[in-house]
Amino acid sequence: MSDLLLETRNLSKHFFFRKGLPFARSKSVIRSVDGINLQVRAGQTFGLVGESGCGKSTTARLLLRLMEPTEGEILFDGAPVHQATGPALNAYRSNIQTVFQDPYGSLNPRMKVREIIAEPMIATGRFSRTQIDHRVAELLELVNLSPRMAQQGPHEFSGGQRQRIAIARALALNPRLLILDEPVSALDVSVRAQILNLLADLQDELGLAYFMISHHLELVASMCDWIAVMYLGRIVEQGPARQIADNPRHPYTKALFASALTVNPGPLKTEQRKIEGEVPSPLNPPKGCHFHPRCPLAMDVCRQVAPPSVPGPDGSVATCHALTQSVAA
Amino acid sequence: MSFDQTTIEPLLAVSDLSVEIEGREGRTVRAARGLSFSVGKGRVMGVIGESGSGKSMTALSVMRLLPRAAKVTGGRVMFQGEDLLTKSPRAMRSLRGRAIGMILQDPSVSLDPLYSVGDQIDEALRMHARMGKAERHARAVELLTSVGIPSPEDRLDQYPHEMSGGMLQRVVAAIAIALNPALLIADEPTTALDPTIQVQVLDLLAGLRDRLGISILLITHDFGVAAHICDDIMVMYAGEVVEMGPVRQIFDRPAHPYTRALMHSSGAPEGGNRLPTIDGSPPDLADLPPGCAFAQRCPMVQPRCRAEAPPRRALTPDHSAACWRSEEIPA
Repeated sequence: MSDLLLETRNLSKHFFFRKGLPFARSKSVIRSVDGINLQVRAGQTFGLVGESGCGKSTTARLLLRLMEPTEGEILFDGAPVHQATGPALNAYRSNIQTVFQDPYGSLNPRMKVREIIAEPMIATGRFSRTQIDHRVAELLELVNLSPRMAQQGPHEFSGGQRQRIAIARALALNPRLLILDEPVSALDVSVRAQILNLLADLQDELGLAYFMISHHLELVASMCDWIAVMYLGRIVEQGPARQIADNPRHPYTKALFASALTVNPGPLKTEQRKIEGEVPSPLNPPKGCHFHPRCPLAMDVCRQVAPPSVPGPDGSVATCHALTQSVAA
Repeated sequence: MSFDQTTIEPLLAVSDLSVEIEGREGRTVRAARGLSFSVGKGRVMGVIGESGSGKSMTALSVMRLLPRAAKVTGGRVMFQGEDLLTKSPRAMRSLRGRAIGMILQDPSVSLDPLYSVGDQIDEALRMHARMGKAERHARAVELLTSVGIPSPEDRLDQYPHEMSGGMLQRVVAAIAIALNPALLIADEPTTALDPTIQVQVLDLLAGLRDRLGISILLITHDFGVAAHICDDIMVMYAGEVVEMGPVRQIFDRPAHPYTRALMHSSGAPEGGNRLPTIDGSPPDLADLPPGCAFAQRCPMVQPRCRAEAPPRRALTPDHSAACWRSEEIPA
């Protein structure tokens, strides 16, 4: 196993607000990210999956230090970075960069491609004009675009080309980790494959680690080395990708992977695993195990007590009461 | 088409439909070129293609809701024995909703945030059906129940912002089927939804077909969605139907290189392999090359393909493809 690059310990982000009439307000809290422990290894791809509102993107924002955690720690290369400021924060940020979902929203239409890609370098103030020009040309070639395109505006490019530009910008400062938040879900199928192949090539060439957020489960299962499944702010199961995709132990993971539509016509692989209902409001999460109202295995204990972490094969962990029962039985 | 064309008339039969859009500087974008397809009673026809392939333009032409800059330049849209393209705007208005329902991609945009869900279902009934207030209320409750919304009475008073995306899409479906339409046009109905909810909504659509015998024209870019509920599939590329047939045949034996490439690049790379890609990008619809529109990107291209556009021809009675080399395509 390769070296630990990024680690979170009990990382939490709670949003507090008041609701109700003035003078009769009650305080509410949304535990968007609720004590998660993740480990991203150098040169590997970490996949975070879950449905809308489960806290995936909040986690990404915490890792990028675009948001301050309520509790917990973030360690990069073993050093805490969750409270870093000034030069330490700048150093961290040049090591961890991001590519967003929508390449139409993430590129400034008033800038030329050169300015877009050069912006991170200009922000550090460490590069001369010629160094920047040289690097922009190099980056464009790295993402299979022509250096001549540097003088064009983003409106002249297709969705796939724009995403390449966004990747070039993310690579400008030689980061070691890229946060990819749904990097291909805004793209057409044929273009999607081109971008995924490019990401795979860049990883081989530059030894990058990826932290990938996606709801495309088939894709995550094949691209990632490690998968964590998130539900209402908590990690319900994590482990090696093949283990999680092929032999999930948590009922939510089972349901999630069973609902992935494959290109083979016909009914779902495992009809009985389909779950009813929807994700409950994070404002009022169910007591005990958050998943119990939708869980086919729910028992009395699930409605009262938060489930324990139960270790499984190859370092995987699932948090489910049913697993402790089957061990005892 | 899997129904017997000689005995059963299809519900919707589009023939030789062409749509052009007037662009800037006298450019004419040919959004649809000679489309022919039909949807049988109680069947789900999937329209698959990438952005700009003409999927949505096809749906909008059937509904006669094309944007002003676009116009139909030829063809016929036969629905229940009448050509929709010759109908008056007034006749069309009464047909929409009543005979043809529509579900769009993003339910949070297709519903009005200022009206309760109940008001919006009631509107469809008020406009088109002769029903008293109590009758309409009962029908609204019945509709919400039939699309699988729990405690429908309470939901009627809620506003769209109080409901989740999956619930909202169910409400949109309830409005679309309020007047028992024969045809439902669903344009990417689950693209904005989470995977577990996507399956629920697709199963709902399949249930409407099975229970009510509704025909569905389902537009999607996702082969997985099409595989899950479609009976037939048509694949569009650059404004043309390049392949059409029953879902099983298309998946087992794709007969157009584009279908095959699209299907293979839809999956995920296996065991560290690279995904097969389709190089290049679709042609400019205002400046189409002679010959086959896919020729520039096709791995099987021959000189003939660049000179002469292949017509769509039948390979089996219900499976057709527009390629000179269909017989040679590996599965």
